[in-house]
Amino acid sequence: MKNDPIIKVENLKVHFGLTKGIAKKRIGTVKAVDGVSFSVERGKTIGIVGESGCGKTTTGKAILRMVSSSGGKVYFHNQDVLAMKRKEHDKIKRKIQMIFQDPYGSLDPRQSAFSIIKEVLVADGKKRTSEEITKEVNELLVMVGLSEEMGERFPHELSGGQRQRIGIARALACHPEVIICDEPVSALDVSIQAQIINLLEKLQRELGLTYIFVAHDLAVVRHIADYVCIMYLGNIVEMMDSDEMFTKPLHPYTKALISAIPVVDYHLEKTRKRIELEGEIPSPINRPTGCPFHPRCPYAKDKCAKEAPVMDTTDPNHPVCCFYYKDLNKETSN
Amino acid sequence: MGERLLDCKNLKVSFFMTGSTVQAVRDVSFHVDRNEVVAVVGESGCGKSVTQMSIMQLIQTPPGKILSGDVTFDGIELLRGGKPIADMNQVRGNRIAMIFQEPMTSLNPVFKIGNQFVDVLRAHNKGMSKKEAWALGAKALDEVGIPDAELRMRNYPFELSGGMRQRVLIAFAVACQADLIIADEPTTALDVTVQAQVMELLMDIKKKNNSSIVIVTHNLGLVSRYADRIYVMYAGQIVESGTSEQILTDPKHPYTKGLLNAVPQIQADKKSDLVPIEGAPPSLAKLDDRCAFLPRCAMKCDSCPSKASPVLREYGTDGHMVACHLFDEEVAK
Repeated sequence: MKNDPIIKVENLKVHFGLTKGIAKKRIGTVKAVDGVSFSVERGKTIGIVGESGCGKTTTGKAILRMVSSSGGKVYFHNQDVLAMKRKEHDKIKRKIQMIFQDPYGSLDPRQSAFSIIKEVLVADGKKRTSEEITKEVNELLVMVGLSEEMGERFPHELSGGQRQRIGIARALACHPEVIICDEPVSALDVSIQAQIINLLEKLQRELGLTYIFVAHDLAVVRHIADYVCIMYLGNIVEMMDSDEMFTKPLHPYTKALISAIPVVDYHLEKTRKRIELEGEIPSPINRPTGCPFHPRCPYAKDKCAKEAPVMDTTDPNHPVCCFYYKDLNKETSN
Repeated sequence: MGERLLDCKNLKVSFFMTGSTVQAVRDVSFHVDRNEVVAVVGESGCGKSVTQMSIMQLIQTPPGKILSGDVTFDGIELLRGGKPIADMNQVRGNRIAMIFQEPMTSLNPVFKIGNQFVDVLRAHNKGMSKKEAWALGAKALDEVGIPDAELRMRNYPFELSGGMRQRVLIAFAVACQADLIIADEPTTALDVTVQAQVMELLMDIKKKNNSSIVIVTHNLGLVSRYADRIYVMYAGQIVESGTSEQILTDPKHPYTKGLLNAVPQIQADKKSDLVPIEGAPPSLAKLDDRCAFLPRCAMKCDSCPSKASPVLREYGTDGHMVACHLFDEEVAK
């Protein structure tokens, strides 16, 4: 096992300009992602968790250059993806693929499953006979747990789980090293959700894939991810091993998020302590000063409104972005 | 057991499409007591929403049709043999309120919140002046925790966030002092921290007004936290029912068991694989008279395929009901 990260994101920023009127006068900036850093090793899964509008999807898209970033670096095999010329980027972009949340919206309704996968497969420009293409597409269909006959169907003839499998097969057609999974199971029913999670895990074992798993469901992320980043309003507020997420959360937001999620275990649910957050997530247009979480934080002090905290890396495996997390956790453990 | 508020017996609803008939609700009986939170759980397309819509008589006819069913609400007969009896306009929205998943589509986008309040209140209270209705609306908004209620009354729905819109719909129910609130996936479109706020609000209102709540959801965690009793639905039928504790700690039906195993649990050993239910739910247009779960069942016996669809029967004596041939013998004892 190499310890070199396959993807390393440094201080990534994505800002969108807000304009008004015909003259497109700049009236503000939406800081969707504001200084995000993390890295993933080959064959591992990193989870990015947060509520809507926290910038988790935008982070994924910025790595793929589907949105243009405003600053920072994304290294793929120690090459900066964001600084590459178009032609250079074309060479490597097949290596990073994406699976989307809505499997219906991301498949062309006028193409059969077979031709959706074929289109991606032949785009690499290699010479193949049509028999070879058919063979490869069928292999991909079988790999994601579909039968070869399913290839003839159109997206509307498939169920949600089957569509998501086609989406995965399409991503695999490029022989990627990294797959960015953007909420791949949140549109699916629970019984189907487990099928897709197990499929993703199986493919990771067999093909040595690296996943960047973007989701809002903490239980799913804990299950599939090795390492987790918790995001709030464009910043990462805490990073930790996924095992520690539920046993040792340190940031007040992580704690509140975990306590807000109802758990299925009946006895645990009746006994555990809950922290309720006031208000809703502020708009990223009017970001609060200081710590972005301070208006909702039950433990906020004067300093939080004035200064923005920086990542505290006392424990390099579990950095936390909060001034007072040490005091808080002393109090609660007593 | 409290006083019976809603009683629904043998409800059957089908949708007649060209070339096929979709049996969305197949003989469903359930009840809600006063001051109780009841959850209806199931996957998409299992008929859980259609059941609730039929209670409210909101099924579009055609293609839908209520074939049979007796529904009684607080002593008023709403349906007898599938035919409407009472004037639903007196009940719907007033005594039974419904909250839908997507709050944007249930509010009219071109009218201010306040005007919609006035419409709703005046429809149910003849002789109420616009001014009174407006004031009552503002008071209700305040009660559901919307700050600057008077200001918000002058807003259009798009100016509010998702959580706020859901609160407005709850405020409609509060203003009408509904006895029963049917919440159809009330928090699916919301973030978890907001979901917790909205659910807590519903529970507060239930306590204050002494009302009952039906939550229709696929989120088992939500059910575990809030529900007193659970009905598990599959392919248009109730396959298991009981108290939350019975269903979640001691599930009997293979489908309920499968559902609970398929959800990632936060306290379970991470390395343990999730156990999905293989296959997909059956099409409701192509059902035969056998057990609908049969093709996906992990615990089926050799005799199951030759038997007719199992009926819901009490297992033991504590009100735990299950519809499965596995328990035929035990029930007979």
